[in-house]
Amino acid sequence: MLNFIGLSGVGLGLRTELLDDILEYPSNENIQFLEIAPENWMGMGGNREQVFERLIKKFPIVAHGLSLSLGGPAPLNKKFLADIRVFLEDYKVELYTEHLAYCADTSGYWYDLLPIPATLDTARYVADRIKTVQDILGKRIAIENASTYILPQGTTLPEWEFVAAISELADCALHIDINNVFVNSVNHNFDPQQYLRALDVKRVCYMHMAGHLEDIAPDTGDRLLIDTHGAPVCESVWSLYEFAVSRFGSVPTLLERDLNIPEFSELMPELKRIASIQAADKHITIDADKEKLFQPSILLETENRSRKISDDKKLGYR
Amino acid sequence: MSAEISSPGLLQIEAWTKTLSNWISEKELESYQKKHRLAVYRELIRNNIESFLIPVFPIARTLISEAMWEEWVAEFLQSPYRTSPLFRNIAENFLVMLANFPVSRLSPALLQLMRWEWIEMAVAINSAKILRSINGQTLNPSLRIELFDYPVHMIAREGKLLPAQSTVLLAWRDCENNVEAICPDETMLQLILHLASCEEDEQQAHDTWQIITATPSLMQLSQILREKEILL
Repeated sequence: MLNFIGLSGVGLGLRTELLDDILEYPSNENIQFLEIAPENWMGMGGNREQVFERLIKKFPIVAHGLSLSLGGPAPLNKKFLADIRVFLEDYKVELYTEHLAYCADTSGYWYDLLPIPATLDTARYVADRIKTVQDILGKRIAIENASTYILPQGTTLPEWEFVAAISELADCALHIDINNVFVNSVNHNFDPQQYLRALDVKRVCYMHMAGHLEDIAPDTGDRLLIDTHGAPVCESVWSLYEFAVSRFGSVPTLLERDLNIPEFSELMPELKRIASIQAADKHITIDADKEKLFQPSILLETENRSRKISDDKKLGYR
Repeated sequence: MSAEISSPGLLQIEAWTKTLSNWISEKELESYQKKHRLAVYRELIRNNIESFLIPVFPIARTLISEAMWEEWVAEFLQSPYRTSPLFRNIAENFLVMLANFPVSRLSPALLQLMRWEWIEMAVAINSAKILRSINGQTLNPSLRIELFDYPVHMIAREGKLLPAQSTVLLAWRDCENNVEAICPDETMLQLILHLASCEEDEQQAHDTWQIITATPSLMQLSQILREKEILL
């Protein structure tokens, strides 16, 4: 089982509905880490802060952001980013991931993840923004492929080429949501394995598993999968996960369940199934490649480089 | 939010996001062949916004018709008040939008009830640390003193909006992080306001506490405030 940046095994997305169960649950059984959205916990006092402090003493935490709008037209919210950095440092969160999508435009925040056109130009634009984020946070981040229901006008690249290009240009890690790959493969008619084969093995450091909903348009019969996180993982997504582990290794993997949340015990079979697929993984050599992505010396180089660039800019302005 | 230095990628994204936001906001989706798919985005966005509003305004929501509520949420999505990346700020910004509505669209009583409901949430998550002090002379940092034109704290019990009546309410979080609220009498309110006014001035605070200590009725009142953890 791969183990880097302090993470390995299987995690569960934290939901308020599951808090009591998670706080009571032994930290060495089926859940090795938790994932939270920093937007839901930053700057919170009272009970929420107390609960969070209990959780981080018990489990390693992955921060999975929702509001950065990496693919948006509005400038990056630097104040928000500075707050994220403080949050990650205060709680010693090693891995921060965000969506390859936009959630804010020049009119404001939409509070949901919206698709962006995949072109070489937009790949460069998004990669530049990711580099800025990494410089401000002083940390490599991972970007997650988002589920989409329409192909934005102007799209010229298949999604897998877009994701691969951005990760190379930004020199960032990849967080692959296996359910999202499957959902998009149905919604936009492509081969999900081809998608996974196009990604750089060493960049994939984290995966998501979740359930979805099938929706058929009554008038046209258009079949659409909606990424609800509201149902058990379907067999097609389990098969794709097995393929992903055979390619990327048993990277830390999270089960997401955000709707129709069942009894805590009902999530155990899915958590165990992820663990058993990871246990069957035979990779032993790619661990170091992934670890290297997050080595402090490399991050320091990035930070120094960005400091130098910003110093150069200051000189230029004089 | 202003545009960054234009690049071909930014121009493409700007063009697309304008198109998508028009599609999401317009009722008719004639310009796109897969209307069903666009409608999914519209529904997801609305449901998400509502999921952050309804828990904050549980009483007000029961007093608002479905049609009016839908109209307000739709208007919020077209408003310039969607300024915060934090979901917990959606309700506050929604209130800012409503505060700009004319009285003909929203009664002041309902607006004030919504403000009171929001304050209860704001006090619950306020980042202040509530710690007992040694001397019991420090005002609880989470304390809010709020003035209303209506008895908003009684609406839940009555199940309807009530006639105007000037009302002061205190809301705070106790040391166990429970949100508490009371309608103080005039003496309690004056004492709290006085203590609040001399918080920054050590000498004035010292003098005030000397007076309180020498006045049995004020001593008794300060003891009540300690029991309620308004004084820590």
